[in-house]
Amino acid sequence: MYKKILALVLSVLMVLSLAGCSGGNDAEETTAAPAGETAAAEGGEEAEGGNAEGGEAASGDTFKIGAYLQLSGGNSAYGVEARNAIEIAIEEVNANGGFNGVPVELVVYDTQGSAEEAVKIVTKLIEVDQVDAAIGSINSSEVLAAAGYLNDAGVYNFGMGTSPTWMEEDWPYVFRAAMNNGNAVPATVELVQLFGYTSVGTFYGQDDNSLTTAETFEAACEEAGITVTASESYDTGDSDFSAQVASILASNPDCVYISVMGEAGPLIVQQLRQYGYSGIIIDKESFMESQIDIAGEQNSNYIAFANPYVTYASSADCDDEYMKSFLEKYEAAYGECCKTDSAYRGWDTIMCMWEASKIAGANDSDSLKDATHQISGLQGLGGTIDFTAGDREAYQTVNKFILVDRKNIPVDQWMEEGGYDAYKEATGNEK
Amino acid sequence: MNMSVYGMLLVSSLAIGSIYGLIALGYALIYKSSGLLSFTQGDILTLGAYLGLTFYSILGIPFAISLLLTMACAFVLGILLEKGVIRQLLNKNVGAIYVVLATIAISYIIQNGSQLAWGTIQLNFPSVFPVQNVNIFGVNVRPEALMCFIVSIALMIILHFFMTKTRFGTSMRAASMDSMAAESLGIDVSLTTGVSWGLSAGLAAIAGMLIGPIYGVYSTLGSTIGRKGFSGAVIGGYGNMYGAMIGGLILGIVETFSASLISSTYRNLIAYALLLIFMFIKPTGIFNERAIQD
Repeated sequence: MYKKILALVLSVLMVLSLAGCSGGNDAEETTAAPAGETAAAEGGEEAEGGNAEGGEAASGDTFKIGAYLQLSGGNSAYGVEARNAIEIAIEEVNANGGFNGVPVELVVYDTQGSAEEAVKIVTKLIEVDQVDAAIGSINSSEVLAAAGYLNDAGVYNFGMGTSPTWMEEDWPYVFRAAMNNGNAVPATVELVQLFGYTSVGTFYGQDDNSLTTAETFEAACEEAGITVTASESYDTGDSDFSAQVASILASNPDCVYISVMGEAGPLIVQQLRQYGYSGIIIDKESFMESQIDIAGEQNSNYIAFANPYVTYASSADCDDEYMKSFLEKYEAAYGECCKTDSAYRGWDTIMCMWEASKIAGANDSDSLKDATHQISGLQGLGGTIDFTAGDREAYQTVNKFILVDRKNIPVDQWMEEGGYDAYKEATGNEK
Repeated sequence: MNMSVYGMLLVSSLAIGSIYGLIALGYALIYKSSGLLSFTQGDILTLGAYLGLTFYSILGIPFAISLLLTMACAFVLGILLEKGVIRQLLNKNVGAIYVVLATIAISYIIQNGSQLAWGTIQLNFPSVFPVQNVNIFGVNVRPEALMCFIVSIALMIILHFFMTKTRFGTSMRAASMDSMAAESLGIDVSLTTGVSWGLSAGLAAIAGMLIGPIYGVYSTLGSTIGRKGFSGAVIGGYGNMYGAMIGGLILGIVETFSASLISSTYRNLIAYALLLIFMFIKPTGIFNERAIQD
């Protein structure tokens, strides 16, 4: 009897858990506009209709934004933080009249980190939910797989991945309010030159973003006369990088460049330091708070990168007024500061969409698409947002930082204040 | 590449190889006791890392006691899995493939359950030792890496004595050789099988807690390691306890040195090619265990 009861309980638990695991796509999260705001919006301007190419016009009671994000599985914290920031941004938009008087509604689906799921979700967003606009995953591979369908359906959409690849496609309805890792490469090469380095060992992941960025970096180095002494890679899921680290260090480079994703970054930094490398590490993007926690504060010293923004332990550590205001809102809503910059991408994306709706004076996809190209001088979390270059990218410039004692210091300031000399003295390195 | 770098590579390969060995040991125990294949080992490793982190870092319990507590929790989980799921399926006379599929389902439940309990951001497992590196014969070694190797070998020796010198261990071996004959001699085969699954889970959990301080803790930590552990078990001779440890160590050494000396891009290719080579050329593994050939 006891065995049967135990078996029954375990079976039920297993079935429930499996249902929970597989139900990600069907479980829909919706953030609707508050009732008061909806009423206010009803008196506002009616959204105009679009043409056939631009898809259905946003003529409903709400402006529906569909988001496909990784909300479960490894690395899902990035998607969750992006969703949190999108929700805060939508609250802000709705509190200020929505998109041309129409309140914004968010529909979110979980991709589970799978490009295949992303495609299914996007199809559902287009066919079933009939969204007015969409926001794509933090994972570039998912955006690359899914954004084309949104483009073909004429749905105005933004992706949040940072790979150069998917923005190289001829998709006029697809925009990005995050950095393009490829665009940051020239600034990254400048960093190498600024420190007087003539050689570099590179370490990259096999995922699309890391691989493409590393290849672009190596080509740029060759052009700039910087020797790539070793080029090592790892597979997703690997945790022991000692072989690659040993090979890179044996090639005796002036510095090490890493182009990696998520949880691999801090492990690689940790193992580089463990193997005795005390020099400057050049990262393809910022080394975030969550990564410092894993790598250790001491090991995370002297990581330089080019990125629009950096993460903070709390809003109190931030001096930038606009960023501080966002972080305070995030902390108020979720009880802690965001640990990754994916939250910044979510906020900036909604703000860009909002700005486009103001410029267009209409909410249909074609009007929003055309208006986005006119956005200029918009305050973003990473500086000024400018789409007028016509490449559908928000950030045309990046900032150079170096991480020292858990603080991201602008590199120019660090050099001027004698930071580089202090680094040489502290590590005993000649450069 | 100088000798100290080779030394560091050797220590790293022995550390990761001994973890593969512990996982492989679990596969061997399960196979020996029940003739089944389980795919939960990698995810129990992850669970062990999370449990160890909770006991050691969050609750502030000393490392050694945390290690024992982690093993105890996993041991109970292993027994529950065998009694509550595997045994019940076997009692229904389902094919072995259904049991294998059930273990795959359980592995996903453990993985998703860990995400639910501890989140999906990678967590830092604080260092166990006050120093980051120790210098041994000019080689910079992380003490946690040494600990992995030493504890794994110690566990292997303890398990050897448990299986050969204790009454219960002898019962387990007897039950694995011929369960009907063992039962007729008064051995509780159900209990010995449950304990085997419990020990396997305990070993995987210890492996998780040992590598937590080196690699951090995240929900997919055990996925690749679980697969590599399986390869190690096959290389050593699937179902052979000593072969499991040797197979794991060989795999760790081959993949680490080949990645450094040949190409890191093909690290996993080389590791799994080694598995295929053994399956085709010597399916009984180094210790000539006949599991796969049978």
